[in-house]
Amino acid sequence: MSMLGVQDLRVTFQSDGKALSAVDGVSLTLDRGESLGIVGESGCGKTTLTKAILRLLPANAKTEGRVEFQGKNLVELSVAGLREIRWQELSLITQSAMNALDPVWRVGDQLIEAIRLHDDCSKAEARARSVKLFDLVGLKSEWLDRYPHEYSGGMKQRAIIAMALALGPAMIVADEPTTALDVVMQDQVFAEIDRIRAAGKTGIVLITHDISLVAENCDRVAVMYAGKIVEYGNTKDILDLPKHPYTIGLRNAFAELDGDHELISISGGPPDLTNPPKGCRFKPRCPLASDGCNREPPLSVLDDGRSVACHNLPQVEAFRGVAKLASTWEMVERS
Amino acid sequence: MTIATTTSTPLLEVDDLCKSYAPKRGLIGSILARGSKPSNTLKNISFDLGKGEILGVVGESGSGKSTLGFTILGLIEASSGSVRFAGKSLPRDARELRTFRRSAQMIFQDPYQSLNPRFRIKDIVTEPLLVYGLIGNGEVTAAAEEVLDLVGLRPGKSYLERFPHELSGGQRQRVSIARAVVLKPKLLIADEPVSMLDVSIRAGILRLLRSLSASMEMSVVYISHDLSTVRYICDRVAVMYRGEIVEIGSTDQIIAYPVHPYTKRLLSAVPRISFAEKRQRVAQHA
Repeated sequence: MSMLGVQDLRVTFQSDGKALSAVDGVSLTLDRGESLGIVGESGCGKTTLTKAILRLLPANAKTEGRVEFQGKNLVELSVAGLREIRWQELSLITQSAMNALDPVWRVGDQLIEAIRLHDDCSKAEARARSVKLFDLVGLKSEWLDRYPHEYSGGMKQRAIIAMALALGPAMIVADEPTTALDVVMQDQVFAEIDRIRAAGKTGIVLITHDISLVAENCDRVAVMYAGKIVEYGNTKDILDLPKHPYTIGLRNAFAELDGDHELISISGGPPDLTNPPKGCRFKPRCPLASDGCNREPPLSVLDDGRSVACHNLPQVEAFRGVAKLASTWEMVERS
Repeated sequence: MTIATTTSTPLLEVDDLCKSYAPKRGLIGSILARGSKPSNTLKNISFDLGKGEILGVVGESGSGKSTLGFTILGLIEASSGSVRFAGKSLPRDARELRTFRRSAQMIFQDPYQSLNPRFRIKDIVTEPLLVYGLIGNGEVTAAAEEVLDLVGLRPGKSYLERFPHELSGGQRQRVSIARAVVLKPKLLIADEPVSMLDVSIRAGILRLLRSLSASMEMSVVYISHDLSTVRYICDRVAVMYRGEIVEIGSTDQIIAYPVHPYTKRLLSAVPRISFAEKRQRVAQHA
């Protein structure tokens, strides 16, 4: 059995008397030493999905389904039980995690406090472990005695990664960990994440809108659209030859240093989830949509092991060529 | 990609531009400035920008890209050096600056913060026209419709009465572009205009900037830390590092044959989708 197994997870928010289904029947798995990328536009439910897994959603959210993590169902776990595994077994790096450092405490003291909260050890032991952790993320130990304002953004984010690693968690969820950083800093942070994954003890979930980060750092990828997974499988298979029209669109919208195609944009935006379109949720923006798309497409498994939710798979190969033209995607908006 | 159309007089001539901030004084200041030297935010920056040309300015956070943009517009005063716009030095007195700003506009990174949430879209995009007395109050609707159509918010009519919070990020960025181009400026400084937007809509904004630049003969300084988007919009690229331009040249040349070690490092930091070979990270220099 996998370390993490999410089955048919559903999250519904109640707001202004309307029900908003932000995550709708998502299933996925993750093992130690493995990394899974979750991609999609803003508002497709990526962050809600991971917050539901970590049980960090506000009170107006209703979570259904199962989240099996090392044999426990997190959806039903008690608060005390959760506190035990958070940080120890499960840790989270968010986009603005660097702002989570307390400005009036030395960074090292914050790290030592976190270690001692979960592990019964002396200050000196915790300090020694902090030195090792800083070394692991490429920070010199003298930085333990400095304050957050003395750090650059990239260094703060690396200090946060050191904290996330402090207790040797089985799983790290990184939600847009480098969006606030420039490319050079981003590269340094991912060099660390790569090292952690290669050590084989930790499973990583990476949430991002940047598919090149997924290409370089994730074994598998789940493409989310409007609360559902529309394509799921091996990163290389999916990014080399995407099958869902949405994945094809995301791929062709991505600016690449060595890309040879016109840059397209997918007209429109993700639907209002209080009133999602009937059938396939991507239909209003999909150039390949047909009448059949008024029925909901099942997520079916193909020969190469990937799953895709699209009724028009037989037409995808012919579509691939025209999908490289910006005009193909603009036509949909007008109609 | 269009070739730079540099005519006899460039629109913008930046010559030996420098900006430094004096070290902090006083007790608290000297503690905060412990160990820091007078900072040279911009060091000897020189370049020309042709009419209708798009120049990319790339570099990491803190390299001075945004300061350069502000200094060109006279929003930050240079310590030394000169900026010449259409053959004339940047004006210093308020009245002349006002005239200059009519032909030099700016758009910002975050369309969630750069639009006044209490203004309707039609008022946001026509405010510059009213400020300069180019239209009367009765002409607001027609002028707003025209410019909204121009930036691809079609039909313009349907956006007039809406507020910024009713629009998506991409639509909001189009509104801020409309506000900037409504005065038909000769120069547009675009500071990270797509970095906050979803990948799926970046292309639309980049294409819009390029087509406006071509149709209005508007020069653009495109500031970004992301070399991969620069490739789709810029004729030339200047690479900045610690306040200096370390390399400048045609976009294709810089990307295919970078010369300066920092340019190489910047290029090597861009993640790739291609699975053919694993990208080699160029080590950080001290």
